[in-house]
Amino acid sequence: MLLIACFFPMFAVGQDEAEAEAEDPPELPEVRLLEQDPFDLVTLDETNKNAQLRVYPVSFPGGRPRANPNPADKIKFRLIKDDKEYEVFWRNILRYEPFDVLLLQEAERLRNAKNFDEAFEYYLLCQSSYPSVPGLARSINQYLYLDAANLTQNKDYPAALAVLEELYDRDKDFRITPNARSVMSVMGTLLDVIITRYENDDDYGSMRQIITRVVTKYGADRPPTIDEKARKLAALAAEKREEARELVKNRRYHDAISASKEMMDIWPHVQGAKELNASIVEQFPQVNIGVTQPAISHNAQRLENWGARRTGMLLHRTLVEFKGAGNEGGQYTLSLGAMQRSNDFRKLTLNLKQFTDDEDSLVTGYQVAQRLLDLANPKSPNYSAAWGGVMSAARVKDVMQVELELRQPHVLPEALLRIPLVPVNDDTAALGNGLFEVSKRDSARIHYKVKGFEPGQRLAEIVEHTFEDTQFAMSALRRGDVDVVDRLFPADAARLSADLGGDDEIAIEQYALPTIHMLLISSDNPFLANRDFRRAFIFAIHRELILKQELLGNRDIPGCQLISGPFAAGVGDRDPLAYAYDISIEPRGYFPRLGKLLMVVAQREVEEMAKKKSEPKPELTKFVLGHPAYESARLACQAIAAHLNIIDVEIELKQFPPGVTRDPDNEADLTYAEVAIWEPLVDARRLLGQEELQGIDSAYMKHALRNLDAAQTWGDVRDRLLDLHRTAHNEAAVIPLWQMVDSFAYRKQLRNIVGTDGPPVWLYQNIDQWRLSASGNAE
Amino acid sequence: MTLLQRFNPNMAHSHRARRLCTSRFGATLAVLICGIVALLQSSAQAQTSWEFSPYQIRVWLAVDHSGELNARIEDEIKSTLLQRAESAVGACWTLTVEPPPEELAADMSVDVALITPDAVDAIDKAILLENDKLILISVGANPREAVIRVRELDCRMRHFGPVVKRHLRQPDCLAQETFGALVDAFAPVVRIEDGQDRNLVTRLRAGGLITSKDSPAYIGVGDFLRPVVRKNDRLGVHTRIDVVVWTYLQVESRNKINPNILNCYVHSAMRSPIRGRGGTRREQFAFGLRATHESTMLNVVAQVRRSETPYPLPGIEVYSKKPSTDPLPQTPDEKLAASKKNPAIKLGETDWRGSILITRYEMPVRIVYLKNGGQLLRRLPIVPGFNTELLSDVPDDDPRLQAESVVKGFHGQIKDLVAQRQILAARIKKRLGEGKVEDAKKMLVDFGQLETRANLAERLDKAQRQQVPSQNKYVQGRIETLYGDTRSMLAKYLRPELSSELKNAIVEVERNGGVSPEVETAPASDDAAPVAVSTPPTVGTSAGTGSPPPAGTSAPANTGAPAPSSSAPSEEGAGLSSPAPSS
Repeated sequence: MLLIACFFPMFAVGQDEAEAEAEDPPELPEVRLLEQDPFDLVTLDETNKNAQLRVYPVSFPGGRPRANPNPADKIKFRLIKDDKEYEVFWRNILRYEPFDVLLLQEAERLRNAKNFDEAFEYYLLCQSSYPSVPGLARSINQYLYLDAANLTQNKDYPAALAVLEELYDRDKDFRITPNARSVMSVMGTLLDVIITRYENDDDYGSMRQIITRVVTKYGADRPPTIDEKARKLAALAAEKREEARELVKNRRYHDAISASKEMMDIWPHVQGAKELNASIVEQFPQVNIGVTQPAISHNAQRLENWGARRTGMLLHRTLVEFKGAGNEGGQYTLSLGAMQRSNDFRKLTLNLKQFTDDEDSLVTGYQVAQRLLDLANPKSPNYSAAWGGVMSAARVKDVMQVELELRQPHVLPEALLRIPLVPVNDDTAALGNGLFEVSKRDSARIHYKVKGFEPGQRLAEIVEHTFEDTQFAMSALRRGDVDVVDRLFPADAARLSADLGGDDEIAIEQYALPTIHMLLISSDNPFLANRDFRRAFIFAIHRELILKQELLGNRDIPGCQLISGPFAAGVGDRDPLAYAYDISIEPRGYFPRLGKLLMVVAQREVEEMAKKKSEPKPELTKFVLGHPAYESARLACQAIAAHLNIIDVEIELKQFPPGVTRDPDNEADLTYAEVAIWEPLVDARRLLGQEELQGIDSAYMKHALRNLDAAQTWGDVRDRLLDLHRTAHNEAAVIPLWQMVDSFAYRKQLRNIVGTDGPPVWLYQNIDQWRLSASGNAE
Repeated sequence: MTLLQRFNPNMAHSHRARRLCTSRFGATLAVLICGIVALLQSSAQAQTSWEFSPYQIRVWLAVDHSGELNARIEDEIKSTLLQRAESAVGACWTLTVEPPPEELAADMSVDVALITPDAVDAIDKAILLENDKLILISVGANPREAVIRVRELDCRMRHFGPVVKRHLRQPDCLAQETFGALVDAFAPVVRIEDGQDRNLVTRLRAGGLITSKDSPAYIGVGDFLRPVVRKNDRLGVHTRIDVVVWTYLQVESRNKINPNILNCYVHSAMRSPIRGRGGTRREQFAFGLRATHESTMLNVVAQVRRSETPYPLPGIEVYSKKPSTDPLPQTPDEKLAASKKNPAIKLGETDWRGSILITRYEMPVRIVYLKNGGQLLRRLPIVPGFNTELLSDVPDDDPRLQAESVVKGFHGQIKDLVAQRQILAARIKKRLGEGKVEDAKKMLVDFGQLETRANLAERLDKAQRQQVPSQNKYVQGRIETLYGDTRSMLAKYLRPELSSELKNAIVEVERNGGVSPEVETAPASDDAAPVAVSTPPTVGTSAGTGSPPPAGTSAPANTGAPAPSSSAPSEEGAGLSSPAPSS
């Protein structure tokens, strides 16, 4: 004892303190063992009153203390309590428990107390940090077994199965007691219960998935009940196959497609499935498109509405179609024949086709001339000032030829003729004069049926499925539920392109022309009417940061860049449709202090103006920023709002209903818009001229637009567009953000989606060439 | 009394008086007095005759017998016109109805607008001398409907009114409808007797015979009139007859003693369109107005040299106000009050043809303002629906607008640059105050990368060289002023010395071993160190976004009102939480 006292000078004190602690326990919350710093626990013999000492972990030869140490040997350790080193004979030590053993003991205690969640944390720590603790593997297996038993007891069968599968992977011969059932046997029972439940719920898809997985994973070791269930599924699928065949015979194609989909969902490996699908595709080619921006209206002319632009041409035929970029402006074709411009740019001749697929679609020169005269008539409700200013006379020759005389030379009069053949009063209507009509519409999908479809035609129907975001749409594309995803933002496209890897069934393609993203001024707020105030917004938004980080995922993607005006900067140096963009005008930088200062100055100007007019002092309250309901717009607007908050501008975000791009309640002061400027020569007025989009009331902008209208040569056009760009930049007519290059993804079974002239400008540009091959829907 | 005297006895007696004076120049004082008395008497007689003698109206009725119309219908129309004139109008009209002379009948049946005063004179000079009004009525028919066309010719002023048209399908109403059209075509006349500037005194023809306000000869308070001036030679033969363009009289009140004397206010695009008192060589009358169309197309063209063809001006902003008889506002406050009381409404902009349709309104006359980018070009009184088309020529102001657009762009750049320079200068000074010389040097490099005054001036010169000149010297003058003011602004707000001052400050701090002499007085926090930034003034330009229409009638002057000065946010973060106080 004396000796011990010599070696443990502080022991008695420590003991006293320990006793004191025992009498008066601290009120501090108990710290869990796994959250404590590692220590070893030394239990002394009865001579030392079985005192338990927490010591810093001792490093033993071989990693842990010997099972039977020599009692005469001494062990050195350092007490945690006083951080002093002590030396003790092994004979005085009853037990020496390293920290990992303590952890495992605690894990097992918790496991036995059915506290599986906490026990899991201990096991996880042991496995990751102390994998050599003796008995760990067996203890974990027991844990998994008991956890599965507990989950089964709680009727959480799928979770129990997952736990047992984990146990099987660890030790397929494990038995909790020597006479107990094997893991696979227990799994068989569980699988039977799970599959029966799916079967009772008619959830054949899940049933098929689990059977397929078990068969694939366990092969011959699988439980015998699985085969029986698989046969049952095959029989069910065969029933559906027969049903689908019957429906095809009766030309009830929609029902046949549904039955076929059910068949594929139940058991795609059933005999004859592929042939059935091929037969359906051949007789009723239905193409499914995944979209994130549904088409509420159908108008190919809408600059700022992706959905309306996409589907406009399906429902309404236009006189002239835009085919893509040419050397001088866009390339256009007359949908009803061919057209020719005179050398002096003063005459345009339309030669209409005399023979068409059906008599109903025959359009005569008189009809076309009448439509064009109506457009040029200021008293007509369909009057187009742009066209009225160009056309002076229309003359019909030989019924099918229309000669249009122009008031002054115009370099691209056909660009003004992207108009529906007949006036469209309601662009939400289901029926137009196009090749398609809306046959069914609900919140999830819109069916566009080919008018007068006959089996054997190239295309029967297009179904647009609406998805919340691109990820869901891409999953559907991978599953084969859709054939095309109409829009991928650049970062998504790059990521998915990498994800697809060697997937040779799916392709990603860029659209031919970029979209321009901007904030449109959409209210008569007196502050936004001040050009300094608008400029302040531009300086205060860190556009480069939003573009790079939020939208491009820190990738450099060609064609995606900041812009200084309302026109496309083009993709690459030689993009012909970038002719309106003045590259000498740099996008304004991010200078929040300057933005703040300009805002203060502008605010005072506005207040002074109101005072001069004896009007009430305008209050600088929050601004409403409206945006369409899709992910990138939402992200961008959230970031813009945050940036403007830095200069004390309060922004309230307002998300429009799906498919809507203008505030239906007219509350938004600013509207996030992505605009397709395909032909700046004519689209500039539509964007900036206040006729279509509200915009600002600026005499300088109007003057620049009038100058553009009067341009007679390409040289004039170029100069005046550059002037317009500069004026828009000076006036901050819009708040330019960035240019983006969008893509689409499609299953390669859908052919000719990309035409021979290169990628399309809009998705359905080559729809009359689309062909869906039979293997498109078959697995 | 001759017919001429009856129409204008005043003038006839004046002739007589003059002859007396010239032939008996040396007559006695008694004779002179007698002459003067006689003149006064005759003048009083003339007034009485003007007010109390009826309009002598001759109607030429041409009925096209080729259709379903026959002689019986023609007789019915004729008798109805006479009966209704007597019953509905009464003593103030003396109406005779007869078929047109054979020489003119064919033209009349085609279109009454084909008849000219000279053609009437050629038939019989007495027609225009003996009558006050010649009214041409043509009644035709097609298988669907009957068409009545009526046009009035004021004989004295040789002035045609608009063609009044009626289409009807009930033959029974033909005669009544013809009378209705005749009443619509009839324009009552006043004689302008006195007044100056914007106020005139007129006398209503046959006013003493009017018994009802519903009479077509009646002109009441609030009615509008169109002045016509006839200039005669010494013999009283007209040499020139002009409608006073862009000018209308609004009846403000009636004389309390003689209600046939009307006090009128002049709405005109010109400063002094009518001299108050006429004479024998200059006769001034005004006609009642009645719009016969739904709208008027106003065509705006550019003022050009005589050798050039006017070209349309698209994009001209058109505003409209109610005509007001209040005095023209002079001071800004008066203009503001006037614009509040009588706000302008934007009607739109001229289209590619330089045209805009102006529709009828609650008042017959609208005061129309033509502006380009906020610059007032014309102020025009218009009666929408009276003419189908009107033409106004204005200076082509587009070169000025183009220059203003360019100059405004420079203003924005100057404003941004001045602010950036001041912000950077403040930050550099703050760094020096904290002894962070290296940071200050880095910022000075940023300062040096900002655009310089010389660069901006060079670009401004280039822009001016590319500026399209104006043929109009006033417009060109405005353009030159715009560029000149911008140059002054450059010189005033972009001091090149600021850069060297900052350099010197850095050198000085370095010499002091990194201690700024201002350290002791430097504010402790960023917020407490505002730096005054004088933002460049707004050079007078008129094309403010959504600028309101003019309050007064004159073109707004370029005020050159300076923009309010502001304090810059002093350091990073400091100025961003709240606006800095004004300097």
